[in-house]
Amino acid sequence: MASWSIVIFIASISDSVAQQRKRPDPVYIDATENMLVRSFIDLPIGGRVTHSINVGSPTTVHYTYDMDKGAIVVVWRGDFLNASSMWIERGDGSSRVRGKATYFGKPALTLAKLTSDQATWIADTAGTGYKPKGYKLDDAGLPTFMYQLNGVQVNDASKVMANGEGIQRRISATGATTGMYARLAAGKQIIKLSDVLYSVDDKAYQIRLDDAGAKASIRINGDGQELLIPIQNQLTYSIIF
Amino acid sequence: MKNILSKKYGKLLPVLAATYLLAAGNYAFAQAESPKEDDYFKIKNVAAPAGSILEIGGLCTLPNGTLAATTRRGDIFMIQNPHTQNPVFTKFASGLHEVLGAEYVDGSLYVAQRGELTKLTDTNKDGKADLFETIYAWPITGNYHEYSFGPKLAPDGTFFVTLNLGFPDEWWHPQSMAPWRGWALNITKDGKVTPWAAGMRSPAGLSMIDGELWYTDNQGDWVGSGSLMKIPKGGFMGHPASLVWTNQPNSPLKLTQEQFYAINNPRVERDAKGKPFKPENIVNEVYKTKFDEKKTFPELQMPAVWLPHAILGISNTEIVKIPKGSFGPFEGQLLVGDQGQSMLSRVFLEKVNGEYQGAAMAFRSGFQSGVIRLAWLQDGSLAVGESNRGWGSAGEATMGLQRLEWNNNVPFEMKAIRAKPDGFEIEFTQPVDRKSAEDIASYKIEGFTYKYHGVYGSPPVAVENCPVVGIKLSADGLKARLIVNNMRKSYIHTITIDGVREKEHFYSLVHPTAYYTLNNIPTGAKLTGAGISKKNSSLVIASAAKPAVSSAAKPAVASVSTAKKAVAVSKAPTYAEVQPLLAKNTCLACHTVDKKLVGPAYADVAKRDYTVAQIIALIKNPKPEHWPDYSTPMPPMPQVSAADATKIAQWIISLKK
Repeated sequence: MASWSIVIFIASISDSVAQQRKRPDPVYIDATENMLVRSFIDLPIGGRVTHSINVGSPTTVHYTYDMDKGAIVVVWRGDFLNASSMWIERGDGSSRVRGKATYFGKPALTLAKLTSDQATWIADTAGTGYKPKGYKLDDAGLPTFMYQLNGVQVNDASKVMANGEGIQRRISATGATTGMYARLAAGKQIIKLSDVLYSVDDKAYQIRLDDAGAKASIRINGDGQELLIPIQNQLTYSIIF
Repeated sequence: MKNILSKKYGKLLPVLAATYLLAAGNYAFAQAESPKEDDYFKIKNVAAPAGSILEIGGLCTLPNGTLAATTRRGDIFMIQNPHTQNPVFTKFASGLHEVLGAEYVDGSLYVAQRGELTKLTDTNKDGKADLFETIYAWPITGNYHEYSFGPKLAPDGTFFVTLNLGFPDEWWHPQSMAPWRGWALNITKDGKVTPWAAGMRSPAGLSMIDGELWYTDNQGDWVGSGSLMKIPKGGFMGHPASLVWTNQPNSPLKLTQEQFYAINNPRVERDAKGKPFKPENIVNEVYKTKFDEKKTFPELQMPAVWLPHAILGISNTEIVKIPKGSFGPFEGQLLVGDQGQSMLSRVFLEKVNGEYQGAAMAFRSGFQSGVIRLAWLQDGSLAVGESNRGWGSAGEATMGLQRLEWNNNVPFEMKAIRAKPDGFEIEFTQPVDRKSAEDIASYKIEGFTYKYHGVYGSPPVAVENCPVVGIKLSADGLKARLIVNNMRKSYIHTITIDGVREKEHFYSLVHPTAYYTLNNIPTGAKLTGAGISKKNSSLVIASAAKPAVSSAAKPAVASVSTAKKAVAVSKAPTYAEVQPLLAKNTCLACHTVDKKLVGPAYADVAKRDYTVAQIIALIKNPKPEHWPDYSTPMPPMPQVSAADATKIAQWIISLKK
């Protein structure tokens, strides 16, 4: 008898709880101006990026930068962020991108010093002397991210392309850059469309080289492909999506 | 007969002035309604622009008097003239990650975000930060509970931060999921990191007091109650999760988790199906206190002052020292915030045998939301930054910024309590009425401690009476030297002074109870000689009214009210009858009659149709899973006596409409 009444009791609680529990209104962040919002970002392939910063633009093209790797994590077009999971109740520190997103896989260093152009890409910062140095904002509120890698000072700034096709990224490196490469893309398949234009993973996105005379090369990496380019002092390229 | 109301307190109903007649010994007097906290310390709102979201995580006063306020939503506001009617808010930065502290050094603001220590500078002097330099990015897994606190500036120009443990699905056993979670780190301005101390659980109250690093931790497993602790380099503050990193070459602490668990049960428990469940307090068991454990692991740090759970907070936060010239008699003492109870406690510290100890007591409640951060303003008032998001608090607002102002009137309080070889010396802020102060019945002292175990919180244990056997009052009436029996080293001594009256107006103490943590008993001469009063008016009453029962050290007030209570037993008790029980057992820290606070309203509990037996069982062993809309689980309260629990249960049931 006693246990029976407890069962009923619990059932009635869950009913009343369901009735009482109102789903709080979501909290959205709209990029009415250039703005930066730090949050954890969860990847569709699993894993949480923890030192990430979301860069929003009123042009409706946005991206997320991983300050742990000096890498772009995701680009998307549409509204900026859903901060509900961060700003309702305790929150978990994460936000979600809104709109149609192109993720670039597990974040890895964009730049690395390789012993040869066939050496395996150095994805992790261990042993590279990587140090995030933060970012500075220009008058328009756009960030230039800064870090040190193998003793090289790197500045990394992206802006939305004038036609809204994607973002143009400019990386400058100061110091001993001998043997330093940039990995512009990594995917299952990379197709060279012209000397300056490459298509990644069945047109998921394109990489366009914007420096005069720049030459990139496609190489095999495990069961996928990578697009590499050596970097001396400066590199400009666009991610079109 | 004393019944004097000053003009200042004329608003306090004269009707109440003769509320109850205190028959004590062979004298009687009518007692005026004594002033309360808000007659001395006023809570003011800081007017913020409409629509501002001020979930304050950090406060820092700049040299020019501007208040920097950082928020959980990642904004930083610069507030000019924060103490005036018209403060000016400027957004200095935004989009940061849950900023829970700030320090201003050489024109830059240093803040702790979830994942890093950041230096913010306004290089083009347009009022907004444009350079955000990462000083040091620490590892973090992204668990929601991995909050990061600080920075605090040390005298040598370096910074300290403290890093919360993460909460796994088995949230009752928090874990250090990445290096240095559960640690304090020392970080230089150029990013050189030295792990400083381990053993933190939820170190929300990092503070620099006179160049020494202190903190408050939050009650939970291995933390029986909140407390103030000094953080020495290489210290182990008490929570074992962070010990997993002591094998790192730069760890200043060598104690391993294996060594710790070799003699301490981690209380990781599974049911018959292997499902983990939250371990509960075992009422009748052989237990250890933290003081006991320290004999095995000398690295273990003791609280300088315990802040008894649910009395002086449930989630202690920042500590500040009252600067010279502020808050009158209390300058030089400490104030400690609490989020859940929306209050401040006051702490008097002294050193005995080279170690800190002292007394804690309530100071000011009634803030509009959870008190997170404190900062002194140029006018000597205290800025109070608030947020209760995710936890709830006594103050019902979700957030805000307030100030606490003193009106230059001195409240009748225990100013200081000092340990003596054979008792305590109570120093009052104002001269006391000699007759009441020389009466043993005016005082009650009890000792207790907490368990040190892997269970969420601890009930007060080993509660014992500490009879006051003699009193010597100083000639100026400011100090009562008590001779006390049964003082126990390392125990918390609850000192309740209901009977002593202030000399001029016959006021009672604004806060009659203090909690003295007796880490050391000073050596020296015991009090002897002339002028020691051994008078105890309660003995006179007891023998006159109830000759059969005699409780040696019961204050007169208690005897009178006990006699009254005996009348109504069979009927459901009224709120007036139950309120003292709810207060005594700290229930009111989290519950009210009809409003959601940290826990549900009693009226809502009544709707659940519990029986008296069920409520008593739930007091001893709560089921937070029945209340999924509440963020803070109720701790088991086995210490509530059967008689109290029965009355409380009867009353709750009577609330059902």
